[in-house]
Amino acid sequence: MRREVAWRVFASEYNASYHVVRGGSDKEPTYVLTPLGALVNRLFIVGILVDREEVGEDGGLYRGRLSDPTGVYYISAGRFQPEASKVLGSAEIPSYLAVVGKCRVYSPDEETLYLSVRAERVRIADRWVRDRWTLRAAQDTLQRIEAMEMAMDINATEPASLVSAGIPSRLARGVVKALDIYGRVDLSRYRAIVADALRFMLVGREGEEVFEESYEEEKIILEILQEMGSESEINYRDILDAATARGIKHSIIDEIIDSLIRRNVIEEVLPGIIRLKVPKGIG
Amino acid sequence: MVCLEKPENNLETHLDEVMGVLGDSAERDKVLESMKKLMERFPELSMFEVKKIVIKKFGGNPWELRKSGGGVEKKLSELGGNETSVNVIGKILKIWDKVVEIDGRSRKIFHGIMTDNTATMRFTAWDENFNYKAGDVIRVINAYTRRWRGNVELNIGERAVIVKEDDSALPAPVAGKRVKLRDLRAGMSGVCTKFRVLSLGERRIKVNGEEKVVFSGIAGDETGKVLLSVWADMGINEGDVVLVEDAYVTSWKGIPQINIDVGMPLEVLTEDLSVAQNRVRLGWVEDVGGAADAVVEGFIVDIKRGSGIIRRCPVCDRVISENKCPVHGSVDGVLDMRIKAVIDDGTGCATLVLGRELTEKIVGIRLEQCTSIDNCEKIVEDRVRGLFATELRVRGNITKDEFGLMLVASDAEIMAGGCEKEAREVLSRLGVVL
Repeated sequence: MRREVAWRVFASEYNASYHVVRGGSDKEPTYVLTPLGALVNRLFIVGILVDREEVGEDGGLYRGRLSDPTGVYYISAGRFQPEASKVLGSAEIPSYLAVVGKCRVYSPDEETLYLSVRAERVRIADRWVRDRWTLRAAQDTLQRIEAMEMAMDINATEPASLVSAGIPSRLARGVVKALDIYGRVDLSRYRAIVADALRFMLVGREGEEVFEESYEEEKIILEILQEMGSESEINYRDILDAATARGIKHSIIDEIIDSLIRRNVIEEVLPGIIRLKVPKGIG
Repeated sequence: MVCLEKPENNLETHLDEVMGVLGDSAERDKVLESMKKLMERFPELSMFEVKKIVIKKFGGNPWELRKSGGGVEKKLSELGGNETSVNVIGKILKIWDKVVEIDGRSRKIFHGIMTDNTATMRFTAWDENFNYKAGDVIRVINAYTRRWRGNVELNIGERAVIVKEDDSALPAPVAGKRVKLRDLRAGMSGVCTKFRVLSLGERRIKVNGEEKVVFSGIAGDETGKVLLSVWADMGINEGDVVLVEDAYVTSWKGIPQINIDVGMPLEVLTEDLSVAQNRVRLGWVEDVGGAADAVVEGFIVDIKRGSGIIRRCPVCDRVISENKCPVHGSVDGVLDMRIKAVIDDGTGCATLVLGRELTEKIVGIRLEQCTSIDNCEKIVEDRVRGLFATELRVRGNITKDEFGLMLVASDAEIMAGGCEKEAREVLSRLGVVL
């Protein structure tokens, strides 16, 4: 049996999928069709493990959430993947993880579809692996956007017309199918996602260096946030005042806040309104 | 030969260029007259000089000509993806406009597909007032090209000058259609193509009981590489640029192979031909069947058992465990090193085999150092495992069988860092300026 390719699909594209192409028999693989035409059976992801829990009675089965610049993947590893399970179960939170895994589809009723990734291999990664992955995910997503754009422009109903324009046949099949199922999706949204992910990668690096140098300051800001309440919404001005009172420079505070948002420790629920994220179980 | 190109010497085109510089201030007939006179008197003068002199005579600025006509004349099939100033002629097959954000401003651009009977390619026109439609034949002076994920695209930028033409200006469709190596597929016949012989070795084979000398190697052009098989001594040598007509294409383990035999019109040219790296994506290779001396960039997504330090039977070279060869029984295993893994570039995947030398390079430990390092096998094993999720650039032949693609590497390197330039390229394609 041929091995399935490991797609690089950002979380927000993957999670926006609601169509599944099921194999006719047990041997035929199942594919998740994304709105941009990726026919995904296997994924390659590099992201930040933001939380994890051990589930099941026998133990050894872990579920976790892996964050990329666009959203969150739900991942799991169990006793059939002992090595992956070991790494997922022991990785620090937060830390970079690289995961290759199979798509899992759970649909309790006809209208609901939960997508997750069953890990086959997991490794603790670093910023450099994350950067390479982000670049490739961005390039591949852009290729899908452009293939989809062409399909929309010529109203493609057959993959052949796209293949003759240089698009690999696998992608051409998916794109034609996605155009049929999802209609004319807003491509500008996906272009913005790609641009954001890359901007984040290029600019984020400086932020992280600041973070390493100003570790003490970050600890103080996290203390302040915890004092103000872990679930409540906190006004940025209040954080600024409290942190300034403890002797941190305005520019450093901004950088730390940005870095915490990027690393998913806090979120900006509204402009100027910050909330500390607490690890949640998997929904 | 049918598929040899004649040097283009279209006076009307040159006149258009001159008129483009002079504008309405000069009379077309008089300018033409003047050009003809000069060409008669000084046949050795290049057209470029003729045009400069005429422009000067009619009170124009000859430097304007450089701006509008400085590009090299090329067929679409000859474009390599790195031209900075090129003149082409093509018929627009499809065209559609797009609104993009450039420097924060909305701007209309045009995408389309054009052909000139030698090739068909995508183009982008960056001028809002590009008012040509499908079916129009245009001459584009000072276009530039880019390669995007393996395909060449033509760009019509601000420096470009466009002259409308009619169908007769297009190169005539020829019987033996000129094909680039990237487009060769097993089963093609009557192929007319031009390539450089990158390597060629002699082989002796038996045909119908008779010994015959044949030559096999690799051919390359500006689009890619294929295997080359020459079935008789036809005076072809390594390094030659060859133009052949009526060749046919077979495949070896999926890799396209061009076959040359006596009776095929063949010419060794004196011109130069630059050969590009055969950079491929695995999804495309799966479609084609294989690739010769290809370069792939992909992540290691799986590492197979039997990677790292292994033992081979000293008699038959089989990989053995616990010093027992299935054929030769208890033996003293010979140490070796290799990696068997799966490389995946997001469009396809291949089994990757790295031999001893490349494994030593990637792992950073030489086999002979191992006797002096404690726990060497474990260290090598850990480093091989650590390759998971690492991106490699690998070179080698890619073959195909019922299990999928197989890449036996002739070179390999780890790709680290250097994301910034490529990231900015993607951003600029998205119209985002950081």
